[in-house]
Amino acid sequence: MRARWARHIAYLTGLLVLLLAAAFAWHVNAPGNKAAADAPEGDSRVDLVAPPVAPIKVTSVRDRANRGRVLFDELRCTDCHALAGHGNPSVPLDTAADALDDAGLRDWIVAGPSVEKRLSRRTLARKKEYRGLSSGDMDALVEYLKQPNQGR
Amino acid sequence: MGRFRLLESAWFWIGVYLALVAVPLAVLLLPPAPRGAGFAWDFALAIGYAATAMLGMQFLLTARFKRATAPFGIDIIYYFHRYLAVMAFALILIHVAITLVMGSNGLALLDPRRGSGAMRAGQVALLVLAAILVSSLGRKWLRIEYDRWRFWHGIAATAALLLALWHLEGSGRYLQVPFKRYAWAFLALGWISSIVYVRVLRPWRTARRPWRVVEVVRESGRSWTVVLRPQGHAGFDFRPGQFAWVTLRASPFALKEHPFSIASAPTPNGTLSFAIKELGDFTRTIGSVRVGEIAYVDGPYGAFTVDRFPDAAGFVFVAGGVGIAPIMSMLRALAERGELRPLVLFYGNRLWEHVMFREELAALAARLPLKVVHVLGEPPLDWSGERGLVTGDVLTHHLPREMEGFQVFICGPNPMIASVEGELGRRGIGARRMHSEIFELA
Repeated sequence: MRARWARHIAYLTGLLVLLLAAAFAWHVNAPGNKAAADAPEGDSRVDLVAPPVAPIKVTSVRDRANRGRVLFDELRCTDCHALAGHGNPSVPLDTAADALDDAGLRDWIVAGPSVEKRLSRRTLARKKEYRGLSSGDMDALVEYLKQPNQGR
Repeated sequence: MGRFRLLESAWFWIGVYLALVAVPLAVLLLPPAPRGAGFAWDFALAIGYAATAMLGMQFLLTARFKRATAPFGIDIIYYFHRYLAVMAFALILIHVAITLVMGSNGLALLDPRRGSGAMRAGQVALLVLAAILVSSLGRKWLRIEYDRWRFWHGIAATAALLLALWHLEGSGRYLQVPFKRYAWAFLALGWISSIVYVRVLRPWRTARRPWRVVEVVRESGRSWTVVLRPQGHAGFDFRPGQFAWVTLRASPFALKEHPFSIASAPTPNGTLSFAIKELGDFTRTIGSVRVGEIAYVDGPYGAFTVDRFPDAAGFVFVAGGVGIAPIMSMLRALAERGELRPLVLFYGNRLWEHVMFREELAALAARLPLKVVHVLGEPPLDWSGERGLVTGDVLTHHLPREMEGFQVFICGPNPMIASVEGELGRRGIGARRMHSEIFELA
């Protein structure tokens, strides 16, 4: 009986932990989840809830890279990719700009004809959403991929 | 509820466990809060964090903290540890399944040739945990010797936890805020420090308090009584029915210790006697133990004792085979105290030749208000006592008519415990009045 009791309590504990995780996920995704103050200066590793990004007039490489970083977060590229230690490290992009030129990088971002067949259906569906990006935003993303350290 | 009553409450300690798993998650929610990436994705990540916290807690559960284990009996803690491991592994599988489905990389997430070191650490941790579960739940079926299993179990579990922590550190969106990283590092340090406590500090304390074998007596039924006397210290106080971990012919640091019930009553000189049956890898060597050998004892542990129920109206004991050991401790102590409350002992064995402490039980029955009912599976031809197993009919035939306030202690093979508990439950004996001790911890 005690062994049965211990088993049931263990299973109940596992279920409670599952509920805790669900509550956690619900809280993090609640509409009213607002960030605290901005990240400390220079700390690009902080993952904050960012306010809506207003279009900015991009005049320099640094500005483009900054814009690219913001877009990298806003478009949730971090769900699958990491860059300069930021995001999901399962598919790092730190050497992507070494292997591809600007056109190649754009092709991968939007799953162009040369890469379409190499992607899963789910990935393809996700990347097709980026085909609506403006040329300025696309340039910003590419710049960030080339110079992630500028995007801090 | 008074402070000490609260501490003794099993529910208090269960709440403490849940809180210790919830706190690491709560830390992640402190501002600045992480941005949501969709319920399913965050649910998967939260499960991963929570399961890692559960893995860390597994080390605390088996650290044998007496205060925390006293309300339950440490045997149940080990059972809890076993089933929690199954639940933690199930949660990790859910984590993997959701990330595979939700992530754009699909099965590539499991490919060790891709991804970072942190991802590979997670993959390896999963494999190590699977190996731990299989080797632990199937130890006897796989014929893995207990000491060898225990040695590798500790190493593998430590490796799995460290790999899981590496995986979190490298892939955790929620740990990108420095103070949250430090908090988790502090928690990890706490979990790992319990390993140091179990593997270094406690063996060191045990080694400083040696015991010496003063008597080895062959008992009936391939059993032995081993008597130990403390060397250079006073021994320890224990309650009749408790048990201790005993190390023979090895250093306490080797962790080749085995749990045995103390069969003697508490004595002024601190002597302990253990009744040990030749059943497993280690116990088959007990007969070769010599007087004068050094032993080490870590104890006492267990909640299986009449001393927890000073107001009981009487006691019923049900023993099977070597399960008589803790009950002998209780009967001997009760005899020394001049117990007057009614006592009944049901003692099941296959053969009369296997019955341990036959003569002493008869003497105790003369000295105490004790009724001894032997139940033999294969009795001799002239046997007039009970036959077969300790069944409901046997219990009914010999139990007092009025059982109000009686406490029941059951010790023996798991099927016997389950059967007797079921029969007594049908007779109105509530779970709170039935107490058992599980011998097979792994």
